[in-house]
Amino acid sequence: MPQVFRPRANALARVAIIGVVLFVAIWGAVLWGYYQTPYAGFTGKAPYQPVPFSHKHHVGALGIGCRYCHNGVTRSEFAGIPPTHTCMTCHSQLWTNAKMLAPVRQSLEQDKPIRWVRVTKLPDYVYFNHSVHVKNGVPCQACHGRIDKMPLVWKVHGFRMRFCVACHLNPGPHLRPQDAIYTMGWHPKTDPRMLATRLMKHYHINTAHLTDCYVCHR
Amino acid sequence: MNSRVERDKPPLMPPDLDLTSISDRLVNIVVKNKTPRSWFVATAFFVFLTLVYLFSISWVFKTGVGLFGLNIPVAWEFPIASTIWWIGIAHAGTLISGVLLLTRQNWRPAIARFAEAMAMFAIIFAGAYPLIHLGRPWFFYWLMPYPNTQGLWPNWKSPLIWDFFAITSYMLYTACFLYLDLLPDFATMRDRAKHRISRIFYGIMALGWRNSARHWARFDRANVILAAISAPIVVSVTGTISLDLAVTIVPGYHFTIFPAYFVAGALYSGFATVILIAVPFRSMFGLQDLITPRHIDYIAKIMLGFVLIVDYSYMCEIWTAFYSGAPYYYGVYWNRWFGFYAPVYWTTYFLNIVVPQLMWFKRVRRSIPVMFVIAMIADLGMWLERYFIVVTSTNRDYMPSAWLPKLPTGWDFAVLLGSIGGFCLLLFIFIRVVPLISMHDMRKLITRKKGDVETSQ
Amino acid sequence: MSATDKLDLDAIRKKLAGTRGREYWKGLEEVAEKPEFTQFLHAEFPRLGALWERQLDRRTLLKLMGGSVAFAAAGLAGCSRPIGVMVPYVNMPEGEIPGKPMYFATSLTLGGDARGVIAKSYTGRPTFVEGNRDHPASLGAIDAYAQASVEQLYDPDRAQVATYRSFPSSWNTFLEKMRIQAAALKKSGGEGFAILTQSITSPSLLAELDRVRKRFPKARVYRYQPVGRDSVDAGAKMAFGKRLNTVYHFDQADVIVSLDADFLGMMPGHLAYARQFSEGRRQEPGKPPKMTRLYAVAGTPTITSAAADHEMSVPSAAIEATARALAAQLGVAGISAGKTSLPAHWIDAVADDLKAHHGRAVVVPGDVQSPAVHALAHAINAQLGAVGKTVTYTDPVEPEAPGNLKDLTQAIDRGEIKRLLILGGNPVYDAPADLDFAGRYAKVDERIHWSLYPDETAYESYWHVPAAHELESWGDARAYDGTISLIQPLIAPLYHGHSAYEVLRAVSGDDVKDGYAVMRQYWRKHYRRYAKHGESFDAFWKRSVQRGLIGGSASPARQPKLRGDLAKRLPLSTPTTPRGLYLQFRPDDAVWDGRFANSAWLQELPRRLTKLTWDNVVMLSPRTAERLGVGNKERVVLGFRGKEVTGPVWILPGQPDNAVTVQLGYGRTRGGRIGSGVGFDVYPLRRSDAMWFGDGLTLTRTGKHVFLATTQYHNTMEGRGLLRSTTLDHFRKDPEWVKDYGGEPPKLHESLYPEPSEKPPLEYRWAMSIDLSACIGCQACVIACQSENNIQSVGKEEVLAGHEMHWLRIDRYYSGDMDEPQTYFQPVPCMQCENAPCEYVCPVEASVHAEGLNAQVYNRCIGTRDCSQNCPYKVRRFNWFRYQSGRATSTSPAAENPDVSVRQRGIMEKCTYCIQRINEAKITADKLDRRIPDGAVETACQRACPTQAIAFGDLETKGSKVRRLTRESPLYYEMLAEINTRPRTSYLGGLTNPNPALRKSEKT
Repeated sequence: MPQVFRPRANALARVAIIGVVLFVAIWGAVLWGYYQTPYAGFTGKAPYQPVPFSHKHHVGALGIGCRYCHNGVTRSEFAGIPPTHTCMTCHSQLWTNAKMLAPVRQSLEQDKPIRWVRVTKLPDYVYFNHSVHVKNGVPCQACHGRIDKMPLVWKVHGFRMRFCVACHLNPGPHLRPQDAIYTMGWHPKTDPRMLATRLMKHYHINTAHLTDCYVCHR
Repeated sequence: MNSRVERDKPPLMPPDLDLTSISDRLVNIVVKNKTPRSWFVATAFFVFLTLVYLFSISWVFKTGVGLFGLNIPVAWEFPIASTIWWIGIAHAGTLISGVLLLTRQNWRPAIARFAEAMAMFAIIFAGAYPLIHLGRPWFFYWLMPYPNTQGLWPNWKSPLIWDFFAITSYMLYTACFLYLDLLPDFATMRDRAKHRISRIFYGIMALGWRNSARHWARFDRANVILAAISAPIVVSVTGTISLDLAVTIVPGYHFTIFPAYFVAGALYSGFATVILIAVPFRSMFGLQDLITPRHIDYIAKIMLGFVLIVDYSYMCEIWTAFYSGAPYYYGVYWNRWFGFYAPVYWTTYFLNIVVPQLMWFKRVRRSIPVMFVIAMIADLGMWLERYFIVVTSTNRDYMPSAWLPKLPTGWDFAVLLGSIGGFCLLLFIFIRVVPLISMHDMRKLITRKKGDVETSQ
Repeated sequence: MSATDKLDLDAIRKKLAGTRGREYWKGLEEVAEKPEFTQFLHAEFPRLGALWERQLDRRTLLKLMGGSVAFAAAGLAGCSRPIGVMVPYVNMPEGEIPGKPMYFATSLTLGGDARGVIAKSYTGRPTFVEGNRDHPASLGAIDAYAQASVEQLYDPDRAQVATYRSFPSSWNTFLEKMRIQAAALKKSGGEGFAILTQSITSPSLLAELDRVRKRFPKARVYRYQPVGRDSVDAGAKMAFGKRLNTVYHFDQADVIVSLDADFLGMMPGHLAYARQFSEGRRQEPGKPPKMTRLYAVAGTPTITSAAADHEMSVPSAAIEATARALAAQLGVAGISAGKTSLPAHWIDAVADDLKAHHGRAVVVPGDVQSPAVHALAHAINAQLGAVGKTVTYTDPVEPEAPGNLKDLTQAIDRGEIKRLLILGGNPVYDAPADLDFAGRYAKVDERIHWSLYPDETAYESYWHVPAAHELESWGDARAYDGTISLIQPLIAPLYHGHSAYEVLRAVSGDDVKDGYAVMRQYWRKHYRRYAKHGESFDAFWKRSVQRGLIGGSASPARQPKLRGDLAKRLPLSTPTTPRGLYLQFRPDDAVWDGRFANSAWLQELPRRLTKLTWDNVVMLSPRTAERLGVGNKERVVLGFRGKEVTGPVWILPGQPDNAVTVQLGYGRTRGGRIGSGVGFDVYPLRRSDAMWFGDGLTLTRTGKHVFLATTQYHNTMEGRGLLRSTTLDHFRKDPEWVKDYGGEPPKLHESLYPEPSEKPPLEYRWAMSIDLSACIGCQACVIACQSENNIQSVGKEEVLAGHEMHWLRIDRYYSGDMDEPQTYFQPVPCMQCENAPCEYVCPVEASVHAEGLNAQVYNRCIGTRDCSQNCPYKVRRFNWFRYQSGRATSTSPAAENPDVSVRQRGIMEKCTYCIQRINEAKITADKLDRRIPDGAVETACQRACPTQAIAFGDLETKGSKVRRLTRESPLYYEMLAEINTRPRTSYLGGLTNPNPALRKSEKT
């Protein structure tokens, strides 16, 4: 009776066995990798906006403060998107008939809000409060990056739970004195480690319960 | 072995059986003989049940676990009871292939193969149940420790995590053991199979087994190692599962004897299931001379042993409840004896305490039909026991205002019967693919027998 | 209407051409599927369109500012993988801070009686209502009906468009028609024009009515209120010769006798009364124990009789005799005791007790009682020197109605009514059967109906105009003590509803002004009476609207003279024990007179004593049921003066023998998706001569049983020390009695694990203390919790399956004799155990301990339910199916609280002491770098509680109320302490104050 398998089969068998193991391992690695990509985290890509509003120009060049438009940031969980009216405070005088601003003027005329495309969004079960972070020395830049360098805004961090928890475990290095919260690209003059400890004291930050689940999830 | 003792017992196998004829018989069941009609009928029925199973679990996935007979005091019932029951059934297989191997029991080879298969398939359904039972099954993998974007780990204090590991490792273990035991037989099949396709299939499965002395040496060593693990595994798996209940503070769950008690119960129902499988197969494939009343007799003795432990535990439990002096434990037992579920409770006691006593009698143990019935009763009894333990404890625990009984729904039964159907289907397909009695084990046994005869003369 | 809209309408008309008028609304559902109709909805009612499709995602809606909801939900073009849209305002309203709620003081009325509330609004969406502390009728508390108003506001079954003969028309068309009709009427001076109103206590609306009557001198005004107080007025007339409003002051009373009065649960002002009453019952740690005593003679068990120290169940019809006996015993001139069913010694004891507390005693007659009982009560109170102390009389809150429903029906028979405007109410459904209003209504040529729902009456009317909800419109109304309460809108009408003002003006062909204008006009005229000296109107208006009421507008006390010939004026005493059974009607705990029938929240709110949901029942006493051989849940046929209805029996301990109580408001035929067909309608049995009770009831068995969904199956405590209560005397003798139940927790450090209670010092240690002597079981907290925490209603089938979702339940236990049991209530929220059994069993750490709370991390839960298995208190609730949307019973996404996650199918949920409120306070405190002061966090249940039975706070804060109660009160105990859960929710043992003279003869 002829043999069904040639000697080579043994080698094949071994390869197959190793192959299966590798396949599983690689597949796992790929999945893990995917979640690190900007694509999965929506980061790095500036979505198209109905009005190509440039933070680079308004913040970077003109030096308009964050709170001029996002005035909820110190009082509310929500930083706030400026009503059309806010844009028109200037643009009723400047660039009054720039084509680019047509949607803004339209919105005011027809009393129809401008529909901006969301850049950062947290899951519905995450309750993030801007005001408390700002009051406790977390600068805008810590999460939103160098807004003053962004023509159209994009997301710099994936905002995965780990990102939040990392800072909640050790906020020190991210903290700034109140006067530097809204500054972009601020650098401490003193030794950062010392500053961190000083600010932690100054803001009475106790990390003991900062990572309790209910701080963010209700 | 003493031949006088041998003589007054019916033989475990026909004396004229020799190495080649045994292999022929067993191989031909798979490759040559015509498949009995009864097999087709049964399989068709099991396919139907399997479809029922698949349909109902997908529907539960779609709509929600509320379909089962669950409510707030009774947040666990059929599925958990059935998990424990299935795992229990699996244990007998492991014990037979493991412990009986180590103790060199002559009656093991004839039943080991399908007992192991039974273990394998039982675990599959045992493992599926808890997942079906989850509120959000699509997140089941959160039970595993794996690197994740939340930077979270499971809660190692939770018995459910131990449970998860127990079941998965048991599954792996059984798969290895079953496959290892199949290797030499796959080789035999490869050499005797008719079609090229099947030869290739068996060939691949045999992983190039060539019956070389080296192979056998390795084989035996691996076999012994696995066998050695079997006993601890059996004890720990059901032990761990029993902790799901025992670790809670629910009166009726919170008993320290649970691990031992559950293991004993598990093996009792497991061996019963072995009988339930052996009896139809032996007649279906004319193996009356290989699986003899004496095999059944041995199994019965073991069943009797374990059921006595179970009964002891019952009494022990009642005593603990009484001795605790806690009104809540009294409440639970009052409820079990006279409450809504009392019928379940008393039936269980009758089936698990009174009926098994029949097995004291040799004539009962040797009578195949009677043992078949007793085995069925044993399985039913053990299932009922799991059920009343799981349900009657929470449906009346601490807060009278929350007390509420709950009847199972059609979905409960559909899934349970479905899982039994699926189990049988897998088993039936299995025995069409490989010999349902391990050929190499039988050959070993024959050679050993030959040795005995020669020395006794 | 624009041309395009017309086209759409025509399209729909065509669609409906085939269907007959009545079928239309069923037809509507079908039409709704058709594109034309959805377009039409969008064109005509954009908001409605959104609600209709249930398109709004809660967080988008409430976080992404204003804009148009319908749009916000839509997708977006021109961007890869959009993650959402942000829709800011065009012009941000003044004072609006996106993401922060705003609070407005307004009022909600029930049968004209106003309760002041504070409504919480997220970017223009009311999501929660709580009591207004400044308001005398609320004092910060709220009742279930008011709490559920938020749900009612967004109810998609509300009338959505003005209809003519059930075809969609429009407000403008309505105005046209009315103008023409009015012009015609003007000539005849309003001949044949009539208006049927509900109770109206609104000064400005009454002024408007007068306006109309001036305009049409021949027009008539009638009034009907199914749960009316006519006998109260009649009683006052009998006693004083004029209508008067009685105001009680239970905080001044030591002995209270309730004659069938449910002053804790139903009477106007019950919130304030409950508060006053509880003040007299609560024990302050460190002060000598003292308590008021309450005797209740109850025609059917109520929470008032449950709270009583001595409950006497007597059929309502027999209570008049009791009143006489009592009056006679107290020596009221000319009253002779008739024959009463009560034991003489009982009357004596009560009378003696009352005498002994001259000036500090009061007798309270129930609204359902006969005028005679009211008159007698007035006499007794006068005799007890109660007037001016525990009772004061004021001018009536509501002017006398020119005519009642009976007059109207007679007028219709005489053919005098050609054109009838029904201003609110649903008489076709809830009028007494003997008046056959439906039949007579059909005889009227022009039938105009203004109401919230397209209800039974709407279908019988030609014109139906959707009413604006009280949260959508301006208005004013008087509270039980006459205080004028202001109603202000929180949102523009969702469904193109219109206020009563507008409708009145429209119908009278006047220039239509909105409520705001009308009110301001009225008050500009009349404000000086209440204004501070030299205060400008605008200042006054601002001040009043801010407070939600007009300061100092409570009616002044009067000193009426009791008629000397009162005894003669009383009707002859009725026979107290006739053959057969009595029939008794009661407004329902949940749906009142039927107006709340379409509220899933209320339908599923367990009824106070029966703990039933989604049904009304025929209440029988155990003895009567035995005598008649009727089983529980058996359907029986009730025959009463020629009419019959069928309903299931509920055997209620404490129900008087031979008295059969049924609840109003069920069996609606046009009640909406939820209200229709729930329970059985008892109005067919109601008669104008027996509005509340009558004898001659026949009850026949059918042998058929039904399923009734109750949330509590087991009614005794099995001798376990869960709910602990005793008598005041026993407490005086043995202040440590509460410990006698045993159940001491094990010593610390017996366990090998570190004691959780001794973990590194916490910043806060939240705790709740529930006073069982104060809890009256009114269920307000349950529904407040539901509203605050986005708890879903699940429907009758699910409740039957044991799947109800309420986080906070009120357990009701009985003790003693089945026929005269003691009733106890125990609110059971999560105990927030320090040694939480639920936590260690969770495989994924979804149930975790944080700051002494058992937080449940919804997004981590996978639903193994082991936590619930291991919870000794069974306070966890599981989402067995997808309850949160798409079901008729699920709450409108717009009504949900944006600060709380809406739980997905398959996860466990539970009470966490309103964690969102704690977090809010924490953030505020953190920003100010200080600790959270005591009282800064109030849980929803605590806020709602009329008796302040629930105290919540931080144990670490020195001198916090909860700390005082838990550390100092001798009544303090923990439930199931012996199993070492170390609960953070604790109880104060309940006390009753029975009369020693009666102890021997009665169980207490």
